[in-house]
This record gives sequence, C-alpha cells and structure tokens, in this order.
Amino acid sequence: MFESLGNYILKGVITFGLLILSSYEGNDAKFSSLQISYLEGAVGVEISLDDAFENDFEEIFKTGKSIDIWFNTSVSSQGVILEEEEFSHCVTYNPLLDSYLLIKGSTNESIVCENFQCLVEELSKINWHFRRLRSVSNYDFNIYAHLDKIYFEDMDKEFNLMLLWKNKSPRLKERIRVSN
Amino acid sequence: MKYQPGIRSYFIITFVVVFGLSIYLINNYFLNQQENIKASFDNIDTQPFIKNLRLETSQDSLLAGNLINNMNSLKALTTTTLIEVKSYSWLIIITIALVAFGLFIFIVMKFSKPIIELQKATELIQKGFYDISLPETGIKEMKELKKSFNAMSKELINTQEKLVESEKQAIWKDLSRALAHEIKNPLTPIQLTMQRLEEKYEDKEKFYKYFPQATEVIHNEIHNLLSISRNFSTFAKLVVPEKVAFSPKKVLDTIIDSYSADYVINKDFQTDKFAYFDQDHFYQIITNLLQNAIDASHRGTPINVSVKENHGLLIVCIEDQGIGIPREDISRIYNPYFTQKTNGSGIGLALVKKFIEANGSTIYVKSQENIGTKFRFSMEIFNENTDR
Repeated sequence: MFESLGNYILKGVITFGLLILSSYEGNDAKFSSLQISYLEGAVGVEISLDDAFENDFEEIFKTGKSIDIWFNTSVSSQGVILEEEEFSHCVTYNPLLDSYLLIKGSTNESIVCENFQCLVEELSKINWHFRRLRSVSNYDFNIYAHLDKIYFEDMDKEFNLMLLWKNKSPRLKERIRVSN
Repeated sequence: MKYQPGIRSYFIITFVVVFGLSIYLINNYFLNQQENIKASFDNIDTQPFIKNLRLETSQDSLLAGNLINNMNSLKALTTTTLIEVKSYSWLIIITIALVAFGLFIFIVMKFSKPIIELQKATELIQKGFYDISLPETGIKEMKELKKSFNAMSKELINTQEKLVESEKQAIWKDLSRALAHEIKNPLTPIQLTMQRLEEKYEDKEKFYKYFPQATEVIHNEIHNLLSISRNFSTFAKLVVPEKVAFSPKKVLDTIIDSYSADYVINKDFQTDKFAYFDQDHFYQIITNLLQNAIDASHRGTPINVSVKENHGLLIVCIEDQGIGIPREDISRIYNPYFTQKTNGSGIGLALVKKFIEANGSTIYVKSQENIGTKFRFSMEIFNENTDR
C-alpha cells in the first residue's frame, strides 16, 4: 500500500515539476467541442482532441512503428457505470508513399492521410456511441486519452510518449441530457 | 530591530547564486549541443532519394522502407532524448542542488559554529567575564584559533588581577598622600605656634600674653585633626544601612528651611510617598549635596530641589546653576580627598556615593562648566509589601 502511495506521490511530483519547471514546450492536449447526435437506440458522441499532436509527433510517427493513441470512454448515471470502452486510434507511417494509415478503433474506419496536417485533423476527431436507455435521461460522459511507451529496438531505448503531453492525460467530464 | 545578515547568510547567498548560475549555464550548454545534433538530423531528407529509386521487387520496397524507418528512428531518437533532457533536467538539477545545498549547509555549520562560539565568547569578555575556556575541537585552524583565544583569556585574567592590584595600590597611595596632606595642614600651625611659644618663653610677660592665643590655635587645629580622623574612620567603616519608612519631603523641608534665610532654594515635591531608606544617610546625603551646590553657586542664583515618582521609585534631584565641574575632574569627584574647594575635606561626595550605594541605589551626575551641576539618585518607595 505504501509503495503504491509512494509511487503515486512521486508521479504527482514529477507531473507537477514537468508542468512548472520543464523547459520542454510539448503539447497541451485537451478535449473540446462535444457534439451529440441521436441514433436509433443510441447516442452518438463526437469530440475533438485539440493541440495534441503539433509538436514532435511527426517524427515519432515517421519511425514506421504503429503508434496507438488510447481513449477510455464511459457513461454513467447516478454513479453507476452504464457502459465503458477502451479503443485506440492507430497510426502507421508508410515511408515509401510518405503517407499515414489511420485506423480508428471506435468506428473501425481506415483512413489514409497524405500529409501530417490531414492526419492530425483525422486523429483529433473521436466518434463513439453508447446505448440509450429509456429510463435514463442524464448521462455523465467521461473520456480521457493516454499514450504508450515506444521502444527503439536497434538502440535498445524506451521512450514514454506521455512526455509529449507533459505527462498529463487530457480528460473531459460532461453531463449529457437526452430528452426521451 | 534591523536585520543584519551574518556570515552564514553571506555564504549561503553566495553559494546559491554561484551554484544556480553554474547549473543554468551548464544545462543550457548541453541543451544547445543536443539541439544542434537534432538540427543536423532534421536536415537529412530521404524522400527525394526514395522517389528516384527503382524498386522492382517487393523485397526492394521492404528494404528501402526499413532503411527509411531506421533513418527516421534515429531522428526520433535524438528528438526523444532532447525531450527527456528538457523534461527531466530540472529533476536532476533539483536533486543535485538539494544534495549540494545539504552538504554546503553542513560544511558552513561546521565552519561557522566555532566562529559563532568565538563571537559569543568575545562578547562575554567584553562584558568582563574573562574566565572563559573554549573546547579546542574542530578543524586544525579552528583548534589553533580556540587555543589562542583560551591563552588570551588566561592572559586577560592575569592582566586584570595585576590591574586590580595596581589600582588598589594607587588608591591607597592617593589616600595616604591626601591623608598626610590633611594631617600636615593642622600640624604646621601647631608647630609654628610651639616655636613662637619657645621663643617667648624667656620673656614671661610676652609668653603670658601670647599663651591664650597659642592654646586657642593649638586647640582649633587639634579639633581639625580629630575631625579629619573622624571623617576618615566613617569613610573606612563598613556602612550597613538601617532602612526605615520616612517622608523625604519632611526631611528636605527641615534641611532647606535652615538654609532658606540666606539662599534661594526652590522646592518641587511632586509626591508625598514615603521612602524606604536609611534616614541618617539621607540626611547626610542631602546636606552634603546641598552644601556643595551652595558652594558652587554665585550668590543669589537659585538651587532646585525636587522629588518625583518614576517607575516605582522616588527620584531626588539637586540642581544648581553654579560654576560646574570641569570635564577632566568629573570622573574623580567621588574619590576620597579629591576637592576643588579651598576649605573642603574631599570626603563629602565619597561618603554620599558610599551611602547611596549601601542603600542599593546609584548616584547620577550631570555637569557643564559655568552652566551648573545636577545630582540625582533614587530611593525605594515604602509600601506594606516592602521586603524589610
């Protein structure tokens, strides 16, 4: 227990230090523009992840490795989780065509982007849907994103991609009102 | 109180500034170096070469793809390394700074503790406590310093003892000289009278005629000698005060009234409270101080006598507007047999001081030549709870 508490405190100190003392500009990723659409028996959520990929991501994607941007979403009502899901937007670079292949886990879409700007636009759009319950009209929607570590085999070096977001996961909590 | 930074503060401020600046410069230097390496890698653009390649088989494409990926991985590696350095350098700097600061504080304490010990010991010596011995511990130089300090302290004690001894001798010398002079004064007229009596002895008529005058002179001078002897014995005696409650106002009224026919003496008695003091001593103190004030004053100039209450004490002041005491003499006025008066014995103020101190108080004098002199002393106020 104490070990995990220690780790938690250490992580907090490092995150705080990164935000306050680090000279790295990084990316201040944040969610915005939550839009709701009503589907048959479901509620569609469209949200944008802004300012997340502008600095240094291009070089990371261009290593040719499959890079996952993970999203954890959930909806709850009165403290009870109704639905939750973890999915990723996976980016793979094709060096010969100088293009990016984006596979969106939430919708199973595959998109080929010819340049980095296009990739960032597509990568930032997140679509998800959850089942609509007749008895529930207020849903607490929760989303956060995180990144994995990347491993350079040839150089035997690991790099935590979360550093690009200054160790801070973008999060959003919002109440969605659905009229029955 | 204004804050005065000490030696530790100066050391710590200097350390923090120098250390902080050094770390900042070193960090910047290495970051710049890495930025330069990254910039060199960024300049490598493989795409134009790839476009011109003839990739005839899928194996060629795979190899070319791997090559580019490796190249890009190298670029990414420089970028990630730089990101890590930028992100975590503060952690390393703070850790180093904390460790270095801790070590520095330890060293500063080790150095400054003996200096502060020495400073405190010096303050004690300044206050007159010479018998101080510091533990001869610490680093070599500090040990030497403390050793020298202890030697100096011992030397000071020896010097002080010698000084006290020589001061005692000087006081006795002065006292003997003054006493001899005082005794010689009446002896000279006695001797001269005796000589004249011897001269007139052959002529009975002259002898008888002169005899009453001679006996009067001898009688007077013997009286003077007795007075000198009495004064000296009073001064030499251990004075033990017999404190009683009395009204200083009443005693002062009695004394001042006896003088008021001939002299202008202003009274300013602001309190009726009783004093707890030896009444005989008070009487002698006042008569001596008042007589001195009269002797120092020009005819007709007023003398002010006041009694006030201040901080739970009765303050008695006698102030004249007379000739004042010369600056070079003021430190000697309480010395026995020191006087500037032609007819004074020089024992008055010495006795005044002795009586006041015996009653647990102190005398204060302020004087300016041709302006006047003010003597002041305090007395305990009598109340039911006064410790008797």
